[in-house]
Amino acid sequence: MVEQKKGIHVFEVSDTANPVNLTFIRIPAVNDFTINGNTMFADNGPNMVSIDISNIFQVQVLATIPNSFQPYLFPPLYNGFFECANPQKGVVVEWVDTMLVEAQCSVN
Amino acid sequence: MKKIIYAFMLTAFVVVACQKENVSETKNANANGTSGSITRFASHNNYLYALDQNKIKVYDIANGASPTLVNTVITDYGLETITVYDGTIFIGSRTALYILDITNPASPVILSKTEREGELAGGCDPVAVKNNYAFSTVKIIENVCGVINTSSRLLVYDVTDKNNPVLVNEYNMNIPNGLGYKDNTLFVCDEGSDVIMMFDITNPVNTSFSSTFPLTDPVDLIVDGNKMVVSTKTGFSFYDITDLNNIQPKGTIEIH
Repeated sequence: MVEQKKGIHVFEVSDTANPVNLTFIRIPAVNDFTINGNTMFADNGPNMVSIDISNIFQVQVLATIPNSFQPYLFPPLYNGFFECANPQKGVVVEWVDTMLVEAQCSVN
Repeated sequence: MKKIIYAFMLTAFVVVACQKENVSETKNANANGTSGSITRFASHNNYLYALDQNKIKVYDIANGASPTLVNTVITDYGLETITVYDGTIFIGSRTALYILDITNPASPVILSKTEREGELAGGCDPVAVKNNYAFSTVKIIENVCGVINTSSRLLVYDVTDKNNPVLVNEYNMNIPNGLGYKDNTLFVCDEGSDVIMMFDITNPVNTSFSSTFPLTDPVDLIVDGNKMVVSTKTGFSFYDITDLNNIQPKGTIEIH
């Protein structure tokens, strides 16, 4: 399954036999996050964002720090050819297996 | 009443325990997050350590509204996973295990970089640390007609001397992923075999395979007291691990 880079699912699991889907925090191009106190820190493409999660249903973005992360311009855990990513077109959020003609980039 | 919230995404997840103070859904409490092993962010003592390919970026996050970059540590390319244990940072990269001292949390100091021997593209090395031993899984991938090289494995390092970790044991695995432990049992996701592997780590130098239980495509896991949650490629599964000889599956969440 392709990795989702869309956001954070939040579940309440005091009863692990019956997890409850609470909400979804949409963060485009997110890869990772961590929580410190009532603040969530996540990546958002090249940005770092901090989010107040003290009310999980009404989260508030506290800060956005641009130019925090370098873009991954190649598919992870892969050796072979791929279509070169052009960062001027935006942020890479997904890699898809397909047939390429004259692929210019490769990892080996 | 204690309320436990797990915040997830499909490749990284965190367990948070909150004190519920009233009947509304507003959470007021301080929460400490426990992360899965496959993550590029770790927070400790109001500092955030974020991996960025060949940099460890250190942010002062005492004020969440204004996280401040205070330091950048340059390393080789390929930083992939980070965990903080006992005031020490352990990082898995494509080629090595890094150990950093954060006695001064704003200024991590690299104590050691232990490279693996003769690898091709090493992938995704999550690390779990218990006392003087670090456990890490390594996926070695060769794209020779899509064959995944069978030298993927679990590695056990003696890290008594943080300046000089010593590899003390290895165990071949199919497609290993995230890992964690409760007491003397190490749990390791094996996506290739669709199981959670259990190892006896009473004496880590003699880490030995113990048993398995089935789970399709496990990716990462978090042990939280007597509960364990495992992320898979399609969702999450919960287990009661109070009795390690009788692990009880609980609920499952599917996310498409």
